[in-house]
Parts: sequence; structure tokens; C-alpha cells
Amino acid sequence: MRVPGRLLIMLFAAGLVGAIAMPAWAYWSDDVEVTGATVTAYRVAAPSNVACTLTNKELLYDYWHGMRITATVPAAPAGGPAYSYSVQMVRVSAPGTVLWSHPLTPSGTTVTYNFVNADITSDQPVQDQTSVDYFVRIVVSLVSAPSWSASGQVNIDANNSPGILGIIGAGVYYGSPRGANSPGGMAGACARG
Amino acid sequence: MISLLRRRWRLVLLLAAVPVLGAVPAWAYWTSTQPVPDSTMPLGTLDLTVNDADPYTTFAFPGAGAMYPGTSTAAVLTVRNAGNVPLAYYAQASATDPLGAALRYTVTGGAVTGTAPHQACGGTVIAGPLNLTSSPGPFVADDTTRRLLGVGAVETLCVQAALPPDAAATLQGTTTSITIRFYGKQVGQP
Repeated sequence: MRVPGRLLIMLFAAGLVGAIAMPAWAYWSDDVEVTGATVTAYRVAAPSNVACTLTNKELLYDYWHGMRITATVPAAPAGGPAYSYSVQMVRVSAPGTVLWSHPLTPSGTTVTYNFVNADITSDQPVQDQTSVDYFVRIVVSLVSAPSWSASGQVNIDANNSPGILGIIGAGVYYGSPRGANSPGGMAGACARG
Repeated sequence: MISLLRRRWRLVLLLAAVPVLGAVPAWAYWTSTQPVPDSTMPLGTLDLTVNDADPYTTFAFPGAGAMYPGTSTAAVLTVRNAGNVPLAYYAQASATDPLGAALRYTVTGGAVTGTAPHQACGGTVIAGPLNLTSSPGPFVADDTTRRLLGVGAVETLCVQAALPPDAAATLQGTTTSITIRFYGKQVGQP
């Protein structure tokens, strides 16, 4: 019997498809998923509210001491913690009220600022008041995780410098320097709140 | 006349006989049946379990809640051929988050040694140390080097996860989830 060529081609194609589709399921398999395991890394307690004070409250011949603050918080070592810090000026008698503050500054960057009359305009001494004491403090904030072996110490280099900033009325003057001067770091003056 | 009637009767009889002959029943052939008792044809079973479960959802590393550089944790998995067909298996694993990628994993054929947070796996190293990613990657053997597991056979795998001494501080407080998938295949399967 003569089989048409087209039929032969169709039969061949069907066989080919069948061969290709020869199933892998001819073999058995079984998969098992294992879940539930978690691992958590320890977090080193972050220092918070680290503040250092730099006092300039001495009175000399009825002059107020001008203040110039220069502060530096060291840059973070590789893989270590990074901090930012803020310089604030507050009244000694009311430390909770910030009269002036410098914007947050990355560690490793020096902040130098000459306080001027305008900075304490809202806190002018009243007439017949002989003195108003201010101090500057440096508040350090944690930006990144401290290192695994963090000692927790933040070294701050800050100092006061003089500057006659002007007469602010009522015979009260900013005067020459007598403020605390603390070059080389103030680790001992810092505390965690 | 009589002759005509006879011919007609013959025709009627003939016509009547045709359907009768056509309806000759099959019962003309003899048959016989014999009941056979029910029986079953036994088939093989390919069954892979881990810690006698499939899936195993409660795998846990003891003391793995506060890892820090230089620490390690370990736990044992028991891989069993619970079927009646020889099989071969391999495993892939993945881990989430940067912590999962930072951990170093080692698989041995031994038991857990030490105590948290310094547990380790004793015995012969089967795999590792290796790192995992968020995508499944080789963990124990692979599809071309499957580990044979005969019928009823058990293999103990000790899995150790260690945080290297130089782990980044940014990993602090993070968590990773580890998923392991075992692939059991019939021996001889390409």
C-alpha cells in the first residue's frame, strides 16, 4: 500500500514531538524545604546624649567675656561609628534652654564660631544686673552604628578664644577672654545624659 | 390454485424465518468466568525527609539571637530516605539580608561542639566554608554530585554559621532568614 508523503511527514513529526516530550517524570523525585532558621546580630549599645561643656562665665572688671568656640569631633575610623554634633550656647541658670545652636555638623569637620551680640539678644541682661553666665556645650549624636568593640569615648577638641563683641547696653560689655580653654580634648568633661 | 397458495405459504414462512435466523444469539458460544481474589501491585515510594518532616519548618540555630564577630552557631539536620527506592540528593540554600551574606557556612558530617555563642561542627567537612545570597545557591553537593542515600539510610548534616571577625558594624541588630532546599532524586535520574 502506498502511503502519501504528507502522511509520512505528519507521522514523523508526531513521533518527534512524542520523543521530545518523553517525560522526566519517568523518574521520581522529592524535595524538602527547610525553613525557620534565623540569625540576628548583636547591636552595640549606642551612646546617646553625649554632651561636653565649655564654660565661659567669668566676670572681669564688669566685662562679659566674649566667646569664640572651636570644636572638632574626630572623623569616624573605617568601619567605626560616625557622629554628628551640635554646638549650643545656653544660660548657666537655664541649661535646658538653648539660646543658640550650630547646625548638626559631621564628625571630622571643625566648627568655629564667634558669638555675637545678636546671638543672645533674646537673653539680654536687664539693667542693674551685673552678670549673666553662659556656657557652650557640644552635643554629640550618633549617626551610624558604633563599632563592635566601641569604647564609647568620643574625643572632643574645643576651646574658647577671646573677642570683644560689642556693647550691649546698660554698661555691660563683652570683654577679654577668661573662659575655660581646653585644647587637646575634653573627654573627661563629657557625660552621657 | 392450491399450488399458488402453497408457494405463498412458503414465502411467508421463509420471511418469518429470516429474522429468527438473524437473531441467532451469541449464547450459542460457551463462556465461563472464574473470580480471582483482589490483589495489589506494590509500587516503590521515593520519600526524602529532613528531621523526619517534609517540609521542615522549625529549623533553628541555638543562641543565634546575638551574634557578633568571631561567634558561631550550629545545628544538626538529619536527612533520611524514608521511601523504598534508593535516592540521591543535593541541597541549595539562600539567606536574606546583608547579614545572611556575611555569615560563613560550613557543613560537616559530625555533631555540634562547644556552646553558644561559639558552637562549631565537628567531623568531616562536606561543604564550605561558603557564603549565601538571596538566590538559592550550592550548599551540599550539586545536581551532578548528588549524595547517595540508600533505602532507610540516614545522613547527619551539621550546619555551622559563623560571623567573621571583620564583619561590618552596619550589620548590628540585623536579622537573616536561612532557607535550605533538599532535592531528592531517583538514582540514575539524569
